[in-house]
This record gives sequence, C-alpha cells and structure tokens, in this order.
Amino acid sequence: MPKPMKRRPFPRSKVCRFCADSSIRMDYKEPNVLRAFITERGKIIPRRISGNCAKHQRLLTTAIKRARNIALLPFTVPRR
Amino acid sequence: MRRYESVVILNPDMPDDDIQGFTDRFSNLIKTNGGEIIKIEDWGFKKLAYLVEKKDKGRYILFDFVGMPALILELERQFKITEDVLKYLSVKLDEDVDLEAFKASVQEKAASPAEVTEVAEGAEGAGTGAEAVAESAEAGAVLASEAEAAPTAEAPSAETAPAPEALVAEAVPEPAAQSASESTESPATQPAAAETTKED
Repeated sequence: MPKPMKRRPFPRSKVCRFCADSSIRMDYKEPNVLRAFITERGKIIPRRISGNCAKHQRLLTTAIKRARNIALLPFTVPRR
Repeated sequence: MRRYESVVILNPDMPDDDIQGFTDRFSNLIKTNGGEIIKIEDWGFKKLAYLVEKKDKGRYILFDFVGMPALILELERQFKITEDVLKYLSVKLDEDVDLEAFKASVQEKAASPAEVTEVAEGAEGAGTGAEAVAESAEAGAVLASEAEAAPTAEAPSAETAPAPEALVAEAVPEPAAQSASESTESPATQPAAAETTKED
C-alpha cells in the first residue's frame, strides 16, 4: 500500500501580522485581539502556523499568559 | 520610580458605593506610599473565562500608577487580605519614569483628545480583520488535534486537504469557490475510508 505523500506544508499566513500592521495593539487587556491566536481549546497557536515573527510571538505569548491570569482568556476549554 | 498597572477583579455582588470606597482606599494607599495615580479605569462587569471563587462574572478595575517597588508589595498584600478581591495582576509598564516629565506629557495628551480616539478606532478595525484570518488558522489547528487522535498515517492527508479549501472559500467570493470546495472534499474523505477498510 503506497504511503500517502509526506505532509504538505501547512497553509499559513507568511507575514507576521503585527509587523505588517503596526496599528494592531497587542495587549493582555485586549482579549479579542489575542483570541485570534489561540485554538478553540485555549492553546497558543505556534509560530509556524500563525506566521508571526519571533519577536511578536514572544510578546504575544506573554500577553496571552497575562490575560489568562486575570480570567480574560481561558487556560483550557473543557470538552469539545 | 516605575510605572505599574494593576488589574483587580472584584466580587460582582459588591454594591457601587463599596466600589467607590474601594478605589478611594487604594488610591490613598498608593499616595501614602509615595506613588502617584495616573488613572483609574472601571471596566464594569465582565464574564470570566473560568470560575474564580465559584463566580463566573467579575468587576474589573484598573489602576495605572507610578511608584517604587515597595509600593507593589504593600498593594498586593492589601489585595490579598481584601475579601472582595477575587484576583489581581500587577504589571510593570516602564522602568525609570520621571514623574514630572510624565505629568507634562499627560497634560499634552489631554489637550488633544481627538487624536487619541482616532487611533483607537483604527486599531479596532484592524483587529476584526485579523480575527477573520486567524479563524482559518484556528480551524486548521483543531483539525490537527483531531488528527492526533486518529491512530494511523492517513492523518496527514485528511488534515491538509480540508484546510486549503477553507482558504479558497474565503479568498474567492464567487460561487465557483463553493463547488471547488465540495469537489476537493469528497476525494479527501474517500481514500481515508478505503484505507481503513483494507487494514481491517
């Protein structure tokens, strides 16, 4: 049985959205911006998928973690 | 001096008078400990992302202030012993704030409030755009997690096939996009089904 082809590159946005548009404010106080970068289960979407640059991913991670701490974002979303 | 910001989640059952008393008490605390308040924001009631002390709602208050590190220690100690505080978070915004210079810049900003609101609106518009793009990424991620559950090697093909079609549907706002997504869907599902039967 022929194996299916090796994993094609995951479709992703190639440009860091925060670099492309400096007007987006990345702040733990704005959960609606951050929500775009977590999965439905509340996990942070990795850089290889979201296409963020290293610098902004770092900032984003701290922002998400802070937002989780004051209950603006969930740590986990139970069940599906 | 450092600039800090503390977000406090208060008990949602607290009457408004107590809220006033609470903010007064803590702004006095900041001042008596050698700090200076920049602003206090009341965000009102917000739904909490998870239960905190068995409550699903909370009242958010933001303190923005300048002070020495020792002030934070005292402030957080007070937050801890205040019953109505469900949760708090203090963030250092800036090291080495010159208080006088800062006051001057705040006054300048107050002089031109129109500019500030304009910027805020622009940011909001961009935010919604970003969300739309991220939804597709999110959908992909969910599929990936589903694929983890599936035990065999057909997972990659099943995972990669539906995601691009979502992109196509979003990118091309024409009826052709719909039929395209349907046609790509069926071959993606068929081989997967066929393989499972073979293995059985």
